[in-house]
Amino acid sequence: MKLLAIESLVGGAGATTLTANLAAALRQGEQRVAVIDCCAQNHLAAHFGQPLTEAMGVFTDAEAPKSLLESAFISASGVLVAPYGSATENTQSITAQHQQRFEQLLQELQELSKPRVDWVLLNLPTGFSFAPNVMLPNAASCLLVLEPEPRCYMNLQRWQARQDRPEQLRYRAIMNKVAPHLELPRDIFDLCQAELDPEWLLPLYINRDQHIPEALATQQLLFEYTLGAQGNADFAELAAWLQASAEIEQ
Amino acid sequence: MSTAKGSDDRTALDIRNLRYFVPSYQQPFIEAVATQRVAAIRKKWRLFSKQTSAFTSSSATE
Repeated sequence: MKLLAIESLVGGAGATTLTANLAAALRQGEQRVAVIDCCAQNHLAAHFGQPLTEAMGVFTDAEAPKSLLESAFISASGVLVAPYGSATENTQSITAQHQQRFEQLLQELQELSKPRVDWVLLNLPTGFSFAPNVMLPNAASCLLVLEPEPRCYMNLQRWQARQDRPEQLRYRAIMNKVAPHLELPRDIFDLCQAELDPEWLLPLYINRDQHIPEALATQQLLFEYTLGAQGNADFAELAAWLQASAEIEQ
Repeated sequence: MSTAKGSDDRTALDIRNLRYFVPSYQQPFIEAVATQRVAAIRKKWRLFSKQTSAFTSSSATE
C-alpha cells in the first residue's frame, strides 16, 4: 500500500481537486485507490458526488468511532472515499483523538482484503504537515501543490527558508493551474522552473482548465464530466509518473 | 535504399550539417535564453527582484 499526502502551499491551489482527480486517474490505471480527507472543509467527497448535507465522515464520529467501511463509501468511479465529515468547532487543530483515529484508519486500510487498496491519497489542509504533532508516518511522501501566482511564490520562499521543516517527510512539488496565455502566471512559472531544484519540482504540471471547476459544479470528476479536457491528460500523466516512480514507499 | 532515421545518404548537405550543429548548440542556447528571460522577469516585477528573492541556488538566476 503506497501512501501519498497532498498538501497545498497556499489555500486554493487545488490540492483537494488534484487528490480527487488523481485518484480517478490511478483507478483508471487499474490501481485500487482510497482517499482520506483530513481537511475540515470536507470538500473532497463532493467531487465524488456525496451530497453536501451528508454528515458521514471518518473524523467527526470520534466519540463513537465506526469502522472505516461504515464511514466511507465507494464512488461510481471505484475509489474508496473517506470523507472528513461535518465540521465541528475544533476541527482546525489536530487533536490526540484525530491522531488516534488516523492511525486506526491506516491500520484498517492495510488489513482490508476486499476491496484491497494499492494507493492511499491523503488530502491535507494547507500547512498541515508542519504541525508539531503531525500524524504522518515516517518517510511518507508529500506532494506540495503550487500555483503560479505571487502569494504562492512568497510562501515558497518562506517555506524554503524554514528551518523547522519536518525531516521525516519526503516533499515533492507540482505546479497546478499553469496558464501560459496569461502574463504573470507565465512569468512565475518560468521563474520557478529556473530557480527551483528540478529534483524537487516534478517534471510535469497541471494546466489551468475551466473544465475542472465545471466538473466540481456538477459534482463529478473531470473524466466523468468531459473526456475532452486537457486536465484528463494532465492527471493521467501525473498518475503514470507516480506509478513509475520508485520514491513512494510501499 | 535504406530510409531509416539517421541515414545520411539521401540527405542534403545543409540538412546533414544542421543535424550535427543544432544538438551541440541547443542546450547553451536554451540556457542563455532562460537567463535573459529570468532577468527580464526580475526587472518587470518588483516582487521577483534579486533583492527580495531568497533563491540563489540556480545558475539561471545569475
